[in-house]
Amino acid sequence: MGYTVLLVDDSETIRGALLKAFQMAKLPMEEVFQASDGREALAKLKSVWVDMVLTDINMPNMGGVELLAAMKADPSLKDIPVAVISTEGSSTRIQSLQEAGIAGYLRKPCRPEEIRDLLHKVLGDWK
Amino acid sequence: MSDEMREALEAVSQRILEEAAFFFSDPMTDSAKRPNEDWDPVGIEMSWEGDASSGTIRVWSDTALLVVLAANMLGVEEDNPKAHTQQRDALGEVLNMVLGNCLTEAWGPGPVFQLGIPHPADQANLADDSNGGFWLVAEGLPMLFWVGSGS
Repeated sequence: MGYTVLLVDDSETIRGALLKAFQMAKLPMEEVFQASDGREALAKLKSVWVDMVLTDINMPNMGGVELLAAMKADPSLKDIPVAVISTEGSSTRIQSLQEAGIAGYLRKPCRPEEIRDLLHKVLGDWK
Repeated sequence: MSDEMREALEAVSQRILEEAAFFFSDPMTDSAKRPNEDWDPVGIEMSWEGDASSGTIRVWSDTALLVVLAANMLGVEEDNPKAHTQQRDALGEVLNMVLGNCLTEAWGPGPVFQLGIPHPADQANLADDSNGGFWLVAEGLPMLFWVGSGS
């Protein structure tokens, strides 16, 4: 058993880099689903169950802030931890994300060990 | 180019290239080494808006750099098909990271900015950007950043 995660980022390169980071950090990933924006993520979450969502903020169609709000408003999704990985550096924005219930925040570019520590913090050690 | 963002670019761009793509770069201080008018780079642009500042940023990269950039970011070999199909996406993400980090460098962590989505730059801007931009040499090849304040 390992982590099941949904990656939400409009950049295929970033999603690929995160997959590589999971490998480099030797994280026990059971399955990694991907979505290119918040709308696609919500559709995916209707059909799969995940331990955690890692999302960017700035995306077309539906961004990470709107995705977080939609998940918190949905009783079936509200308890899934959502962490943000973004270029965002505004403490005001990060504080508002924390108040909205994010489980963690990393700033791009981030190192594999930072991603490992985030997943361990949110999900605990190996399941 | 605004002074704040110019200084931020100089402070941030090399670090982002190194951390995100393992590119070691240096400022191109000798203007005689800049590419001539036949240079045909790939350009990506994005904008930002906020109370503290609004503007546009562009990056122009030698095409030969792009496959290395994408391969390094993805952690794959340069002959991997993904390193070829994701070249422009990789450059856009570098620009996204440079802009996000530049805004904090220039204006501190307080202000909130809305960042746009990276998209192809108009080649018509290249000549002006060449004169006013910040040139780097990465992996021995030229890369140019330009930033302008105002919408």
